[in-house]
Amino acid sequence: MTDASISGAPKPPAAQVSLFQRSQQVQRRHQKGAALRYLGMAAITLVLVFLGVLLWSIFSRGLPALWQYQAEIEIYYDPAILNSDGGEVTAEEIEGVSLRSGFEQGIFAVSLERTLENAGIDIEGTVAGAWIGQATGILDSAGLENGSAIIQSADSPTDLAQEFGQAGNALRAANTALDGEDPAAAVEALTAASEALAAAGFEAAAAEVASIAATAEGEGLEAADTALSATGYQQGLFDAATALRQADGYEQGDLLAIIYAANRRDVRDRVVNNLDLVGDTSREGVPISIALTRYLSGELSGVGQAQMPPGFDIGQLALVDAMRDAGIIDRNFRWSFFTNTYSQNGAVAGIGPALMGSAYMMLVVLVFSLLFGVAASIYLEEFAPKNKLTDFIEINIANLAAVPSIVFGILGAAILFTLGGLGFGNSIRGTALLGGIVLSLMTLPTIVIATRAALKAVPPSIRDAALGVGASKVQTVFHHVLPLAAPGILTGTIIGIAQALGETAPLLLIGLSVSTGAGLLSSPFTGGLLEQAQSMPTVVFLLAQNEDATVREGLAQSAIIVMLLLLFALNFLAIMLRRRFERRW
Amino acid sequence: MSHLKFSTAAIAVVAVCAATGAVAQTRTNVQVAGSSTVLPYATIVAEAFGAETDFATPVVEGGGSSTGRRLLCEGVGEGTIDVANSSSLMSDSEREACMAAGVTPVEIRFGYDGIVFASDINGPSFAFTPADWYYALAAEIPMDGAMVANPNSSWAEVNADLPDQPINAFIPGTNHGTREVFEENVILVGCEETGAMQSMMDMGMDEDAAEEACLTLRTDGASVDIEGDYTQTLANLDSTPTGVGVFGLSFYENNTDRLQVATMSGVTPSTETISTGEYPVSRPLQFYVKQEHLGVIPGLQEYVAFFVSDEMAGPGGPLSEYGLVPDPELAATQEMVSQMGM
Repeated sequence: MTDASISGAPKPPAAQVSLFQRSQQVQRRHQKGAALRYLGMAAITLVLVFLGVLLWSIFSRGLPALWQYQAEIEIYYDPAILNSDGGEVTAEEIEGVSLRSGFEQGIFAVSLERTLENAGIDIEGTVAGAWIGQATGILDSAGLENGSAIIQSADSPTDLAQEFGQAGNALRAANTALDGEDPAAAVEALTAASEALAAAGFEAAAAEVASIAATAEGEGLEAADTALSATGYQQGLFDAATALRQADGYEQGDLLAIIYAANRRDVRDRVVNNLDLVGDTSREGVPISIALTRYLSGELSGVGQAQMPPGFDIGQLALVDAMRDAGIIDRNFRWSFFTNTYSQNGAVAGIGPALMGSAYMMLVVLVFSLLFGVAASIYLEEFAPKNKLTDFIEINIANLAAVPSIVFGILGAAILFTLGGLGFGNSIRGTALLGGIVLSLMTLPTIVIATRAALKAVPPSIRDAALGVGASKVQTVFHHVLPLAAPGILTGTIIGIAQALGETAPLLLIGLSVSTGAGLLSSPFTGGLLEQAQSMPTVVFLLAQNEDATVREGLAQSAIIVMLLLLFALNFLAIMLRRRFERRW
Repeated sequence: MSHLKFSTAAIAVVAVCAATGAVAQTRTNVQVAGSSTVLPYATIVAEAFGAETDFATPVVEGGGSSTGRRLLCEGVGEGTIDVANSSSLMSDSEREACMAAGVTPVEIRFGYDGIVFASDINGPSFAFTPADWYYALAAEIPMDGAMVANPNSSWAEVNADLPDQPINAFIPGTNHGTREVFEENVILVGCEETGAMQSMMDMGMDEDAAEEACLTLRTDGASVDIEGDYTQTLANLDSTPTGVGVFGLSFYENNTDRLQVATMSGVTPSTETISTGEYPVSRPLQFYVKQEHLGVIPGLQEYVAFFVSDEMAGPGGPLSEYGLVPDPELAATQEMVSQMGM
């Protein structure tokens, strides 16, 4: 105030600074902070959305595929097939019966027919009904009235198909004539077509074509051509004729295609071991053809080509419906998926050997990489002198952790080549032992890095105290440091193994991506490590390439779910170990 | 803790050593590798062979036709494979290398694979001729006495009868045996039929150069090479519904709910039209068996005979059920196989 009175000039008003009012600068800062927060939240949301989409696409396809449709059929051990010469039945005679033509196309086909008949299903009638329904629908949509009455009153669908075909041909001839120049010929052809339609029973359509003939005389050929094309009679008749021809065309093979005779070998073995079964029956569950899964689950409606399960027609779908209504088809959990071997046929494909192969490889990885990894780390961390050489080794271990996995596959192939040169042959190719060794090489750096970090985290006071009471260096390390570092080492190991479990690329090069020939492995102590093995990721690869959409977009995801669960379990174990044993100083 | 760990480790090491000692057993299964096109069917045969006979199920692996042939020609002995599946024929140089390694490969043709052109089932249908494909995919076409970059961007520009859709072709990559058939039976035929090849030669190119010009496909994105298998082609069609893809007949038949097939020169592809030769685009499928291993590897002779038996490869058998085309001269092949064992 005094200053002001001295200078005499009014003091410029001081900036109104209020604690409650934010200056522009502060506002901007707050805005930036808020923007960063929102960006962070957006990033996390995006990640969660992607994760959600991924999990949804896997689980929504993979979980339903773990349930399978099965037919319960009564196997009839038909003496006409098993004992065709009519004499005494012998085991050798039955063993000589072919599984495909004798059992699948014989025993199973006959048994399926019998099962349907016993359930009160009229097989031929069902098929014919479906096709006649189809033909009626075609006639209706082509504007050919009275179609259903004509089909009802016909003696045989095949004869009717012929009649429709003739009418269609007459219409086609008329169409051709209308494209020509000769009005008389066109009128004649149209009249003939009208008569053929009348003969087939389509009075209204016959009248229509007759009126087109009048048009041809009056307004010219072009107008008549347009009028005739607008009717769609010709295509309708041909399509209806095709459908009607199918009505009589039921064959045993159409019915057999509905199931997959997966257990034909078991059935043969059973009757070989028990000859009394010949002429008798037993109940068996057989899987329904995998292509029908999407129809049975309602995903495909069976109407129109785009909704038809590939390889099936409406006659067969009518049989499937009848079987379902009769309670022959039921839906069960697919336990066999976890024990069966991979098969090109999705109805019986499984991941049994692959699960075992992966488990054995992980066992080998555990032994090799833990042993060598921990040994190397202890040496490097506790005993090795700190010099340029150990620095160099350290850098290269870190580098090795970043080497792409396919490189290890090539390395594995090179090991194989060397062993081949040493006379081991290729008998190690494709075994869990080789796969495990290659994956161990890949896992080693991860474990070495984790182990060294765990050893470093043990405070020097522990070592000093141990040395101080007279323990040797080796005693210090093994009695005090290592046990304290163990939780960290285990966590690193588990994460390394989880990573190795999902590795595909190296396995493709060393013979573990086989589609057949790998069975359930025997115990690792009796040579199971040296049997041809499969692995989970390569079987997922095979499943995802299957030509059948149900396998590609169902079973492949089921196998992925199994793998994900294993990985989650391993990671969960790692977290539990860390929580349980971790010590902080 | 450490005691437990050391004892498990010790047990495991002993186990590994014990297991390694068991190496050098005699191999009791047939080993097969090769073409990924043949792989699914070879898997079906191997599974059936394992179920039908008392021999061990053969080990079947993919890897590709040329990899399979290379593995076959590595040499003779239990450590090498017995059969190489192949969707293309062995070249003379490969055969020489094979003989040099002491391997006599015997070629056995077991059927045909039709190559079909299919598009999304909800789109318009196509009726192609080889000429359409040549004009759609060639990098440069002769016009008024000079080679000009292919100006066609829609199928309707290529041929007024085709739907007015942009050209988006998904064709097999150069790593596929199918590619060769596509080039030889479609593009080259189209190039010759349209007279384009003749006009190129009139421009002064020699025959080889003209052929090469015929087979050089555009790289402006209208034609996409698919290096993976048919499932990848299908995935591409799903994301580009206006596209046209090249598939095997078997794959198409298993996916008729998504694909519609195009006719070629008016012929619809089917096992019948392919076996009669009416449908022009097909290729033989074969495998090469190592003569030296016959009678040495248990089950090899039987596997080969089983593969070409009427029950598997004949009409109505699993081969045609899968969507491949039976070989009309199967009887001659069977005769040859039965002679081979002598």
